[in-house]
Amino acid sequence: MKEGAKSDAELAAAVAEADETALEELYDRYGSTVMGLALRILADPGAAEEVVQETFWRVWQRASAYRPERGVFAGWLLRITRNLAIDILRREKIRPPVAESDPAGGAWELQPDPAADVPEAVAALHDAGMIRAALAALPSEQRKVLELAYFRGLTRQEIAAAIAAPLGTVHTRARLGLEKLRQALAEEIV
Amino acid sequence: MSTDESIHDLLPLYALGALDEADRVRVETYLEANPHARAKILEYEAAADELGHAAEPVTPPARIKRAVLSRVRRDAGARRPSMPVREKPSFFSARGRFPAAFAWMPTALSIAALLVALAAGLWGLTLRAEVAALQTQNAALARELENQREVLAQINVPGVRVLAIQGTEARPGATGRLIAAPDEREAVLIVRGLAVLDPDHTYQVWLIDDQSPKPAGFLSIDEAGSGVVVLTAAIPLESFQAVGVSIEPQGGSQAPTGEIVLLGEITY
Repeated sequence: MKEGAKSDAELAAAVAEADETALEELYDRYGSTVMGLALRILADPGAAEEVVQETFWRVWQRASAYRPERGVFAGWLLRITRNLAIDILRREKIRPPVAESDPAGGAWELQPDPAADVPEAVAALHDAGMIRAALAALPSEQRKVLELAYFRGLTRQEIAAAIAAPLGTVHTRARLGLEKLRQALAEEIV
Repeated sequence: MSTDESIHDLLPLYALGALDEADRVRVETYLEANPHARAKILEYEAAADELGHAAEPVTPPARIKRAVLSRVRRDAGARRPSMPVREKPSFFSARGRFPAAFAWMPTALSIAALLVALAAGLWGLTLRAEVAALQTQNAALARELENQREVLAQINVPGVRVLAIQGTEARPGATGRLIAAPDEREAVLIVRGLAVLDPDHTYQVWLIDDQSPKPAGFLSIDEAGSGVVVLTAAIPLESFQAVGVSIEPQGGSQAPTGEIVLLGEITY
């Protein structure tokens, strides 16, 4: 974040007061992250673009519902994105392949927008790289459970069927995966 | 899923959004009563949220940003002249369209009339049974009056809006109004045109967000099919997308199981 720039929480509070310049600032910070996530889930650029538009529209309408004490703004934002994209997946009953065989990168090229904020884009790439590295460091069976749940929107029963394992195994892998991911990212930040 | 331990097994999958409706309701019910589990779920959610960053960022085409900002600016222009405080007169000017909403107004007078009747009963000395019955009625009316004071307090909150709720195909003649301020956790739901249910069933109200319907209270109706209920939510009303009313077994359900008779979008 640039020196003197407003925090995400401050911008969200301004959006709640109908400040459209604050929403534009948040779009510049997170538009590419939101698009990347929607594209990863849907594998359809047109549908992903719709999700981007709807995500920021919901931020505009519901910014006052964001509670900083419950987590960072980016988490709240990406949860909206993920829910919208998974809803489309479930509604259309499509299950695009997850890029699990390539955890370090997706199939989509970064297409810079000349008007985009370059330092913010670089920061987003750094975050993505760090988190992908933490994800890639997980045992593959734990990573697979997290990916099937988060990026494919499968329920625990569907995951158990997909990996041909008992529900208890799914529970354990999800718990261990999340705990290791949290630990790895905490160490990275420290 | 009968023990705390097994519900704890579901917390990571809840954070990952990998539970079906029934599991999700069970976990949310458990979370409401267990602060320790709520703290744990925040940890899991924080880790799950990081997965969203694992996707490679892709800059959307510039036209997407233009479309977002254009829509937002149109909305901002439309919202500014009529921000919260100005909404109140519009509600009161519209109240003539909802006479049923104000049917409780004569209640205080009814209570006074009952008290007069009560005094007459005491004079007669032989009407002790009737007095007891009237006292019961009086207590019920006093509770109703208190409830309606609560309703009046709610609809006088600054920024209150009135949202239309429509009957579904199951009950096309039903209508309703949700009276709520976006940042409040309470709202008033007024309905008309519902059918009187058998004693084994009740009307249950739901507030629906991105995840699932949340139980928001029970709705009692009179013989004419009208009713008023104060809804209480755990989070501000603007966090929800819709409100609905379904027919459930007496005692209510954790998630809608019966026919949905009223449904309306919550927009501000």
